Amino acid sequence: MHKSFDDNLVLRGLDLAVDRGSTMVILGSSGSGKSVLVSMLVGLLTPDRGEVLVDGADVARFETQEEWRPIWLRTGFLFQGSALFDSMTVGDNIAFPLRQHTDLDEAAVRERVARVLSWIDLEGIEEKMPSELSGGMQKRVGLARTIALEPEIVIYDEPTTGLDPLTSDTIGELILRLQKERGVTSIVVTHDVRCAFLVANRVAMLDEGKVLVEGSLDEIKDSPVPKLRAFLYG
Amino acid sequence: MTWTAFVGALGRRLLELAAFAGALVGFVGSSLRVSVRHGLPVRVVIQQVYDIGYKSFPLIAISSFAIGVVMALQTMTLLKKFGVTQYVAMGVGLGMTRELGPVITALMVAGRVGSGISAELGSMRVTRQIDALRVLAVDPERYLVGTRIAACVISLPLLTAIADLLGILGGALVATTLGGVTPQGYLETTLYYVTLKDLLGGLGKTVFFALIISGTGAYYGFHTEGGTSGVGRSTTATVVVSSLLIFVADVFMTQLLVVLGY
Repeated sequence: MHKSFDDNLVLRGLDLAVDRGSTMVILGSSGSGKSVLVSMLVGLLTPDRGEVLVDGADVARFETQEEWRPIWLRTGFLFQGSALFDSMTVGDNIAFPLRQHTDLDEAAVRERVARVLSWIDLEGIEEKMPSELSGGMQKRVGLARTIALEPEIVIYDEPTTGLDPLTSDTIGELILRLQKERGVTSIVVTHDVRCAFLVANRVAMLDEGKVLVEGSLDEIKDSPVPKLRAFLYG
Repeated sequence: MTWTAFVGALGRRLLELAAFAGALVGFVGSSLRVSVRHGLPVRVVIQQVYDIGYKSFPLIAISSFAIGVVMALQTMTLLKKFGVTQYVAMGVGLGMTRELGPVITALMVAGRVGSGISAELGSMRVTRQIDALRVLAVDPERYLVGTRIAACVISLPLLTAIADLLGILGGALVATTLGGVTPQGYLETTLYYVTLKDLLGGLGKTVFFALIISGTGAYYGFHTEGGTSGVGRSTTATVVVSSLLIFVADVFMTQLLVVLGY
């Protein structure tokens, strides 16, 4: 994939594959194009050149919302700032995709919301507004909304940025549980090495718009590539 | 600034406004097309009618009543000289229904609602809530823009009808207390001179004003860049541009209505 903004070449021939059911962590310093990459996976940005293949379909060629719809319904996206709807309660945020895309009656929606909240260990906060929650809680509620429709693929854009180490670990454990219990394919964009080591099956490091190195977690930990070692171990 | 520089700057501004009007038509058209094709969420439209219409009522009621009072005070001074104060009802009635009711209501709603739409959608843009809607497979043009346009198109004619009525009542208060006109005389003069055509012509304009207000607010909100300061810029631009477009559209629509015999 290639992508530039005016004269700024962000992605320069990036090539990466993610196996079904695995967790791929994409590491890279700020401005390395990680968020641009995942934005293109869900149609928020379009590559200048290249292909984005999801189960063989090149979504980079999609032009209408109707074409994207099946991909969006299969894919959850956790935004860096959670992107919770601040005019809605926590319960309505999580219920939103259920009300939009399922035929569940109101009782079933409420039951599903309670179940998802219980899964992220935040029972009973349905009536709270997002502004009443801490950053870590907002992130977990964002994750709850992301997984309410039980997507096959979940993309996490900087899921632990701005959180303390303990809260980051909580988010990391939820990502891990989601993969183990539900078998979702996860793509985690982060510069948090601790989180990466906790959740990754495979790791790719971006540098100058390309994949600098890619491998299993063990391979990455032992990699001799200087830039990667400097990123991981300081 | 020299004369030629002034004309040049004015010309550029007018061209910018015309270009924006073109972009606005495309944006509103696209939102309406997708809304018609997939339908609108009725609950959201009702909520927006409450926010846009019902909550604007006190502002519109007070301002239109005051305008009716002021119109009556101003015209009565002149009419007293000729001993025909009963015609104050005609001046207030025609002025409110044909022009002031629709335009003042639209300007008030542009200030209160257009800026609100712009600020809300602008905040949603910079906090990525609009992107979140998209990846949740909900079309923001339908869910956010279509619903607000529909609510504005429903609310503005109703608010204008109320403004017309309260403006006429304001005029009646002045005419009966200071002008020696009887309430029955005021009512009869109003009903004689103000026809259904005058009322419908004025209300017809408000549909276009509603498209301008909601479309401009949504357009600037949707295209907000630059964080919270960008939200402020979008809000200001919405009020300025929608007010200008209301006046420009009013000129053309009034001429059209005159040609059509309204």
